[in-house]
Formats: sequence, C-alpha cells, structure tokens
Amino acid sequence: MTNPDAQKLRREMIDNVRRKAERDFHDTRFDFVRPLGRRRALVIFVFALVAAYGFFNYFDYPEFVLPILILWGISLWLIRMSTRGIVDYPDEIVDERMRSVRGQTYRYAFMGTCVFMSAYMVFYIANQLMAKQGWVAPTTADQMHDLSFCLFFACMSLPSAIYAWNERLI
Amino acid sequence: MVRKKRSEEAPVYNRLAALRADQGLTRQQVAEAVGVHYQTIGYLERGEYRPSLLLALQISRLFKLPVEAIFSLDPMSSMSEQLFDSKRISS
Repeated sequence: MTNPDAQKLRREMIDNVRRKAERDFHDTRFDFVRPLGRRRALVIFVFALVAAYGFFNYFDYPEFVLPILILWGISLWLIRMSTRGIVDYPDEIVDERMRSVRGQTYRYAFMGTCVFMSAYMVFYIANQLMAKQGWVAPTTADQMHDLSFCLFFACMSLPSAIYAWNERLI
Repeated sequence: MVRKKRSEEAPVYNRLAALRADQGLTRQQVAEAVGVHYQTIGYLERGEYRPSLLLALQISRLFKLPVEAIFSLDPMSSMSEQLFDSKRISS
C-alpha cells in the first residue's frame, strides 16, 4: 500500500481499533464470565446448542430452531466478550504472547473445521451408499442444507471457543 | 527433526517479579513501559511464557540491567543469596 491516502486511512483505522481495544482490554463489565470454569461451561453450552440446532432442524422440529439460534447467538456473544474479542484484533493491536496464543488458536480452529467438514462429507457419502443398498432412507437435500448450517455455526464458534477454553487468564 | 512439545521445552527463568517489587512498579506500569498487556507480565513472572528477544531487551533496558541479569536458562538464586555471596567474596 504505497498511496499516501491509503496509508493515512489505514493508520486512522488502526488508531480507531486501538482505542476500541484499549477499552476492551480494561473492560470489567463481563468479568462474571471470565473465570476459566465459566468460560468452559459456556463453550460446552454453545456446542450443545449447535448440536441441538442440527438435530431439531434435521428431524423437522422448526418450533425449536429460533429459540436455539437466539440462545446460541447470546452465548457466542458472551464468549467473545469474555475473551475481549482478542481473536479478531489485527496483529498491531495485540502483544506478542497474545499473537502466539491466537496463532495456536487459529491452527486448532482450522483443524476443527477440517474435522467437521470431513464428518459432514463422510456422513453424506455413507448415507448415499447405505441408501442405495436400501438400508436407510436417503437424506434429502433440505436435511443436508440443515446440517450445513449446523456446520457453519459450529465453525463460526470455533476460534472464540478455543481461545476461551485454552487461555487460563483473560 | 522432531519438534518438542511446549511443556518439554527448556524453561526460561527470570527475576522479573523481584526487580519489579524492588523498584515499586506494578505489572501495569511495566507492561505499559514495554508495550504489552499486563497479564503478559504475569505470565512472564510465573515462567509460563518465554519472551521474544525484543521484549527481553526492552525489559532489560527498563531495569537498566543486562539481559542475563534478568533472564536465564538455569534456575536463578535469589537476590539476597547473591548479595550475601558477593559480600563473602569481597571480605
């Protein structure tokens, strides 16, 4: 980025983010969810909600889906608040230890995403093969869509959840 | 080459807590002086994080001491023991 205007814009953006980070790093409003035990309980709850979302959507219980999604959104937001949003800040804002922990976090998140994607593919292929033999009913396209949303919510939760699970003090 | 697990890597000992207490500085003050989060200073003091060369040099500059006086690969004797030893040698 050699354009002076672009550089100035970038500096301004970084300054804005830095000010927000300063506020977040000293924010005590969410200290009630910052103890490690509570963070881990929240992480378990979030993934239980994702599993419940997948289950109820797959077996067609739409009345449960919206409340579960709202609960999932609130829980994920609480996890992000408990980790002070560190997983989202650019490198210029966080210090070297946080960068190192965050790098590890994203590595695990990538691995987790790969595992979820593989499970999805294996489920699909296994279902198709067994359906051809007449052992099970074939999964419909709608059901696969439902599961893909479940996968999306799980992968979206991963970075914050892993950081919240692993970091002893925040 | 097999990479060692983090728990198997050689620890870096330091006397950051003693120096900080000696100079009456809080973790927050040290953190602001070297540009890190105050919890990173806590992690350093407990030996749970190994600083980069840059951070080690910044800390040594802050305390006006050589790096090896603050960080070591071997367990460090307490400052009172060192003081006692140096007095015994000089007397």
